[in-house]
Amino acid sequence: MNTENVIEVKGLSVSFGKQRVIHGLSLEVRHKEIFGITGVSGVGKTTLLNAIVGLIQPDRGEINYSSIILGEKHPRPLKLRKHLRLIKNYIGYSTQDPSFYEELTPIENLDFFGAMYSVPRRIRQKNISILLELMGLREVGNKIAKSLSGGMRKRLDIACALIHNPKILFLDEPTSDLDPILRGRVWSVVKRVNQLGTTVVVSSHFLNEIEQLCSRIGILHNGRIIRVVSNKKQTKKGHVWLEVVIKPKQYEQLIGELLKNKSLNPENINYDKKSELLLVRVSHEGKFKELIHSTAKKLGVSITSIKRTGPLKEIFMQTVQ
Amino acid sequence: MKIIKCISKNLKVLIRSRVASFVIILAPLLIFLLLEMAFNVPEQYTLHISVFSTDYSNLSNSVVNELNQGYFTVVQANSKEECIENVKGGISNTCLVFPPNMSVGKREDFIEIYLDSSKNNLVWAIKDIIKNKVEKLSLELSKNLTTGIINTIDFVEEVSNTSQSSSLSALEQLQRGINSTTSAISNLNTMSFGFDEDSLDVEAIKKDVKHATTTTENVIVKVRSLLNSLEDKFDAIKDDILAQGLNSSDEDELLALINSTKSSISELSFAIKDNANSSNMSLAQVSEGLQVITQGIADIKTMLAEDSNLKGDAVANLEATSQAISTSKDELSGIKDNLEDILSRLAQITVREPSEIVKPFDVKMVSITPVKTQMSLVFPQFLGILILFISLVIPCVMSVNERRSSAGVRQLLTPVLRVVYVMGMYLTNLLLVLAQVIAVALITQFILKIDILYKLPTLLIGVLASSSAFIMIGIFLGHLFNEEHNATISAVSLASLLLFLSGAILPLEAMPPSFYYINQYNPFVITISVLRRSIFFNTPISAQAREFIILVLYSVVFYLLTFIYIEIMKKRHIFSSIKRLLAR
Repeated sequence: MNTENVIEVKGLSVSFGKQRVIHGLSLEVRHKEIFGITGVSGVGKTTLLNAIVGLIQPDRGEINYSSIILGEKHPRPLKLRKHLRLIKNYIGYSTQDPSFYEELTPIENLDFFGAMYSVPRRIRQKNISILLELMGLREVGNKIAKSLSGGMRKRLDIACALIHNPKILFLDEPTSDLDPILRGRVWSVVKRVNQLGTTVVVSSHFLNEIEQLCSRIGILHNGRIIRVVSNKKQTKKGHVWLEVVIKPKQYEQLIGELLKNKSLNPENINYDKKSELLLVRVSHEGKFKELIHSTAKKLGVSITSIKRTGPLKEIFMQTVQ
Repeated sequence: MKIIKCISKNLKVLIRSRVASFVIILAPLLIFLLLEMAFNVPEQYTLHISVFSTDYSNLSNSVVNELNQGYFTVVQANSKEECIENVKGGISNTCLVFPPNMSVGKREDFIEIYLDSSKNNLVWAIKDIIKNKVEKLSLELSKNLTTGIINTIDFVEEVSNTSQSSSLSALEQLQRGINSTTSAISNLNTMSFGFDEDSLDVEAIKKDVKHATTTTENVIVKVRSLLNSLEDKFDAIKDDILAQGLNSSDEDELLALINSTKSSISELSFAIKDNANSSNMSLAQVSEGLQVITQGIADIKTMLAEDSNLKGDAVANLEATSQAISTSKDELSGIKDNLEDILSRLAQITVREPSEIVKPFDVKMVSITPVKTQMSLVFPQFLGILILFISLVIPCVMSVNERRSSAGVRQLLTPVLRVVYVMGMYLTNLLLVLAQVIAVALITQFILKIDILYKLPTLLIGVLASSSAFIMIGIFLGHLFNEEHNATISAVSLASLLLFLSGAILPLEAMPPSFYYINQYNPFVITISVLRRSIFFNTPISAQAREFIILVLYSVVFYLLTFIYIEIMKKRHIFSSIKRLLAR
């Protein structure tokens, strides 16, 4: 096992009945990084995370946890299947749907789960205080959990996953169902947790967001991580990616007209029929915007939005296609 | 149209959920089928009856034999206490204690029937059944007694008829005897045995005879006196001659003596002469008298000869009378024998009290349940139902909710063994049940005024054992279902089934023997038994070891089943609730 890696997954296969969801997947998560997992809906992101945290048993494959997180007592990497209970002490998992007792208050939930992780009472109290502060839940600490807003619930769930000071935090779609403001708050919390030394593995289909957050992103497709994109490498190229949204059924006409302009390389234009998303890599953002607006006007096509995006989306689309 | 669409959609949704369709549609049918099998039998009871007597008599044995008929199982207890304990312990439904050497006609003897009034749906049936059996036997005995009396009356009538004819015959014979006697008396009356007393002066003859006799006696006395005197004189002469010899003086004296002798003899002669005259006179008088007597006797002979014929008739009549009396005696002897037979037969009728003949023996119903009110009687059942529903439904629902709740996933993420959560749930429910029972006990003690608090320690141990079994069953059910409503329906259905088959509504004894046997292991039946014995009889736990062991076994078995099920589900990836939740 590579000394930098805290998790190594090899040849993982998971199926539900006859439906094979993960098939021979391998990946590595490095110490203190934020590792993103993305993929189209239903590709198996959640299943992969569930398998890595030990909630479901894989059909085949190995999941090993490094001694880096397990401490000096365990100098060798441990297999999840054999040492599940031990490893559970070092990992935290925030599922897509918040997982805590709705009838308890945030403080009571944190206290209960802290006790379940055998966190001593004094440390538990301290952790509760820190987490309430960190998650912005101090004012609602004694309110019944089911009365909290969606964002608060999500943050409480992350707090529950952190109550025992895990070495690795798994987050499954942490910002789904949240408005942009709340999403921003959640991501800032994740960053802060990572800065405190916790390795974070996060799955999300918000490419822009994980692109901004993660140091590495694995693209899950057909049951495998088909590509791992490093954020640093993508930022070196200096091109601008624009995401163009227009009315459906007008893309082909617009693309055809745009390609008549020789300044545009057809390789830089990427259109996904499924998601009806047009991505264009340009070196001069202003010129392209003038061109596309004039072309659209000429064709009578209405442009809904043109916004900047990262390279991940293009890579993702290319990879998936 | 829209409503029909709605109905159609609802049915599709219902049927396509296999668990829901089973629980909602099939489970009630299954329960109904089971109940129908259990209770769709003729109205009969499989009663277990304990009997005891220190000395079984024919009558007590006949009662036992009567009870042995049909579906009853009669067990002979070794003591009265054991017999009653059998009822308390539910081994028997009732206990019959017979008096020693029980017999008909002993008014102080009665059969004691011990009943557990807390089995209120059965106690009336038992009373009814026992009453019917006893009445049947009583009727038979009454019939026998009456038949005996009637047979005796018939016998008396028959013998009386025979005696009547004998009496008539005897009367006729006696009448004949009376007639003969009358005739004999008449004959005897006509007979004359007298003679003329005046013609025979008997007194005069007597006087003459007396006089003659006296005279003769006097003569004889005088003669004797003279003779004695003569002898004395001759003796004196003889003595003198011998003493003095024959000299002159002696001769003088001898002469004087001889003279004197002569004079005495002369006197004797005179005396005899006088007396002879007197005697002759007297004898003549006697002779006359004798003649009179002789005449009288002759007259009597004549009269007797005349009465001889009459005497013969009288004798004949008296003989006839004797014959008639003899015959009458035989007849009366026969009548006497008959009367002795009648008395003997009557003596055999020992039961003479009309009430005893109508009801040859009596029974006394004794309740072994020391309670005063109906509420007290049904209190164990109420408490049992409370425990059943709380212990079965709440853990079941709680278990589903725990697994189905969002927190369920986080539980799985913690490094805590599943057993901790299950035991936590078990103990939580146990505390709930115990709190409920204590609250009920307090209400019962202070509001219903039923003395329960002093039995609380034993009661709580019983509650602990029974509720543990139900809680574990509930937790297991909660793991079988993923939807709260399915779990709730299944728990309520199971609780209802256990309730219906427990004897709380219809007696177990009304079920077929196979169901009755299986139901002995119904945890609710055991719970009721434990509560009843703890509340009413303060039975120690050691005496209820079998029940406690079964309840503990239920707890252990369902605890293990829960974990086996969890493991199987894990391995088969059918943790659908978690998967569905996580796969969103």
